[in-house]
Amino acid sequence: MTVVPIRTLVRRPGGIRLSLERWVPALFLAPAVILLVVYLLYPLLSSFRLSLLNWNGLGETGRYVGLDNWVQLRHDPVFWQAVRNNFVLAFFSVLIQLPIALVLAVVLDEAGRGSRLLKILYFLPLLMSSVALGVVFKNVYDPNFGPLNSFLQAVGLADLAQDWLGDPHYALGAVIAVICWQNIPFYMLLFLAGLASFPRELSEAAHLDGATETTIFWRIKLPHLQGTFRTGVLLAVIGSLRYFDLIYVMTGGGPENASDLMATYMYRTVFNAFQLGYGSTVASAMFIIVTAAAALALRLSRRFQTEV
Amino acid sequence: MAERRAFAVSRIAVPVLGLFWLAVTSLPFLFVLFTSLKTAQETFSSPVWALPESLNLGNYVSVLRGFFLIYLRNSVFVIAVSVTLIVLISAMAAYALARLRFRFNKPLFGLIVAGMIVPLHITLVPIYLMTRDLGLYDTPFALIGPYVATSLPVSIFILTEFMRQIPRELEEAAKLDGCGPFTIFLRIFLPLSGPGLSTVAIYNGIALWNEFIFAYVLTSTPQHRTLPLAVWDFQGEYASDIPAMMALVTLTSLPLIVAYGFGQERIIKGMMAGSLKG
Amino acid sequence: MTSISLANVCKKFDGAAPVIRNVDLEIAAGEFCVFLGPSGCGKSTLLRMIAGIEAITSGEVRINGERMNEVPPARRRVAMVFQNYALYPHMTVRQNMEFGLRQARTPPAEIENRVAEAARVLQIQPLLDRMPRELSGGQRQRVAIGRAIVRKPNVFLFDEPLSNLDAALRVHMRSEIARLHRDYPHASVVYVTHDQTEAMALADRIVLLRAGSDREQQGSIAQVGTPLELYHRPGSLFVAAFLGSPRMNFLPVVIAAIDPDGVVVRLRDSGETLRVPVAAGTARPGDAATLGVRPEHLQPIAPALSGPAPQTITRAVRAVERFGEYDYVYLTGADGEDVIAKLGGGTGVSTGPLTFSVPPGSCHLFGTDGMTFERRAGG
Repeated sequence: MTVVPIRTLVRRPGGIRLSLERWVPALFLAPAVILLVVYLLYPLLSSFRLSLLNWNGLGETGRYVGLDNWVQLRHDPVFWQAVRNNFVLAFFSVLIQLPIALVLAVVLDEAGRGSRLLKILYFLPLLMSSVALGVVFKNVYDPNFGPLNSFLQAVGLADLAQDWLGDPHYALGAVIAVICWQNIPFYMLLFLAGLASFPRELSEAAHLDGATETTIFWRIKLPHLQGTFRTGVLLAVIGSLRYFDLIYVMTGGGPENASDLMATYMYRTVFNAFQLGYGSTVASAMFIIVTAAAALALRLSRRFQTEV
Repeated sequence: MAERRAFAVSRIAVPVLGLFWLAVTSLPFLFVLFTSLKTAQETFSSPVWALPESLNLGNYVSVLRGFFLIYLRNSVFVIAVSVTLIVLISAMAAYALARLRFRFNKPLFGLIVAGMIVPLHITLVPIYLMTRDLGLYDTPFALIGPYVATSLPVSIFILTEFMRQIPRELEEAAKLDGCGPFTIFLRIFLPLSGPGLSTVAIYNGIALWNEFIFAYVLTSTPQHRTLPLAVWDFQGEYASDIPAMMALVTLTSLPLIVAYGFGQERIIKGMMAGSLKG
Repeated sequence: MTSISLANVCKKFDGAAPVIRNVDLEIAAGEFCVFLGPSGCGKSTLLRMIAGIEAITSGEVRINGERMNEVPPARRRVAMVFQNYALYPHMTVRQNMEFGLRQARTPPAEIENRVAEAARVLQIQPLLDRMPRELSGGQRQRVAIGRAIVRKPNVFLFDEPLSNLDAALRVHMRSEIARLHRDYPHASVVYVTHDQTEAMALADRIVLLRAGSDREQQGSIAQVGTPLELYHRPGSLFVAAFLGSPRMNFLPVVIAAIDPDGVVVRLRDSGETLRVPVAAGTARPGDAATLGVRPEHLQPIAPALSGPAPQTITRAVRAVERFGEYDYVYLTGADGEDVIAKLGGGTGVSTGPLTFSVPPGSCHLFGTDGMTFERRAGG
């Protein structure tokens, strides 16, 4: 074996090497940090700055109006209607999607052999773009030519037929139904994963203790899923508070703001009414509400976790 | 007794419920497919759930003759570039956050993760103004920046978690083999993060393929718009030609459904992982 | 010629107590040196500091006389075999072995020669194009060693290389590593293990590191020496207790008398007296001490008819474990702690009191500070 003196192998003195090493993390992080600052952090701050302006977006810059926009927002019935709608959406998302998803997950869990194909087909709505879905369901809900009303008439329930998206009483509900239709498979898969992680020994032990299938389900399997439930609620609430797509495509927030959400109201204020300043105020308020709700929800779900 | 009855109930309820939801899921798809094969005349004359009288592909032909292929090309271009950049940039950042020691590692990771809660709509106006000022408005490049940036937090989070699982000894062995941080990243961490990278690519690829609002705000002409806007623009112009619209919906959804046909499990897993983190 | 020298080496992680304290050590070229110690004693950390993958807090590491503290691992001419093998999972066996050489821009022909040579030595030629996941534990171990061999290092570093293998394979690989050391006589080996059998079987010299309750001494060297030196002449209670299975018996005693031939001690529980040929040092009659006797040094003798014979202890048998080749006899001791005697198989001992001779040369005496009383010359 040849012994090479080590000195010849050391090309650089230690000091320089070490100082170069200090910059390595920066080099790896630079692209991500730059993009995040430019496209996330700066817009966030900029939005708050814009909220202090009165600006139609055309001139060089707007007129500084201080907190006028925020005062206006406080007394803006449409905005509060939108906030209310966001929470209605969150409430019904949790109330409708999670129970149906749970039932379907249990069904698939029991179904055995056929379940793989069903799972694959159930998942399809999640692959659709909301524009495509919105357009499809606008046709489904069409008061004159839509299959929904035709179906109601055919089965003798013509009285129930409505102008689903044109009637302020039904518009929000009609869109929520579509949102649920698209998202239930997601929560179903969530529960399915939770059920799959259920340890078989537990139900075997319960069988030996003389428990029936029903008891095992209610007393052992459901409690096992509570962590999954928390995750589901958290996702549904946060997702609902920042929702935009299907509402915008299907109703645009109408009729008479009946289905407006914070995001759709913000969009129309900026891009239809050209009130960049006031629109940014709506956006900033939305940011505050969503962040606060997310923080609250996270804290609550943690508290439950430690208590239960 | 009770047990046997419960058993019987589940024997019936399981297939009934399973098929019921299958119907709920598939009826809208069938409505789209059948309508797309009808003529405009047919939609008015025959009931809405009637099967098409003949296999009429005329709607597809006319959609394909329009701007569809241009929208498709734009989508492919924007998504391919964005996903490549997302994977590369988030993998680099994740490697630094998972394995390199530096002073602000933990707070930086926390800040990036917090970026996942930001409602993206708040960035819309400033990004719109910025894009306009940069002269990128109504070009495919307008979308790449926001797409990559808004996908980074969740992608970095997924990949950092993934890379933390890679045994430290592999890195140490590589150091003994003479690798610096860049070689370790390229030769060890990148190849070993395959599943994590594919999750990130699938989740963001699908989400961006369907992305609507940024594309809607940052582009304006069919020459530069992506597929979701094909449907949007079409319904604005030809709202009454329902069969053609449904043909268009079918065609825009087809690429993802075909991809799904090739790897359902992989795509389901990727999308679930992405949404759960996000 | 010295191959590795450690001078006052210390390691401290941020804000924690030091894990390595003031280690001074010289390892000769070609020497097989084993770092032994209980888990948490810092033996792996010390190895990793030699390898260069753990920073040195203070002190100096030299290899072949060159200061290594700031030299990156790849330029130290060391090769390391990890406990979990650390084979690159996405590369074939051949690529794993080539990887380091490629990084060093070794000429391709040379790479091929070295890989072929290592594969021949380790008999892994048929595995060269397989992936690590297709290999058994023993095969992975060979590949990991092969990856070390091809680098032609001055120092082989082994970090608990056998602990992931099953018992039979462990014995086999142990002899392979010994053979490997004979095949590369100029390279030093530093080998970390918590298994005293491995250490005794392989080492030219054992470095036993301290751990445990005594935080002040955690991570310092307890004793350095050949395996038999450590076994027969432990410098402290810690070393005596760590080596040997079953463990050395420790009996609380009081020093009864001191004379030129040694020290006479009285057992606390029974009052029996024994002579130990050690120098008393600063100890005085009446001082407490601990007598140590290994189980295999207790030999049964016929009980004396009148009164206790000198240099014997008599105890009641509590239980016997028979292994065929030998028996463990559990004797009632002080404070409920058994005294164990290891006897040749088939003694037929079962119950009743037994008398054992305790040869003076097999007795160890430890002071209250845990250090061994120095043996008298010729004792």
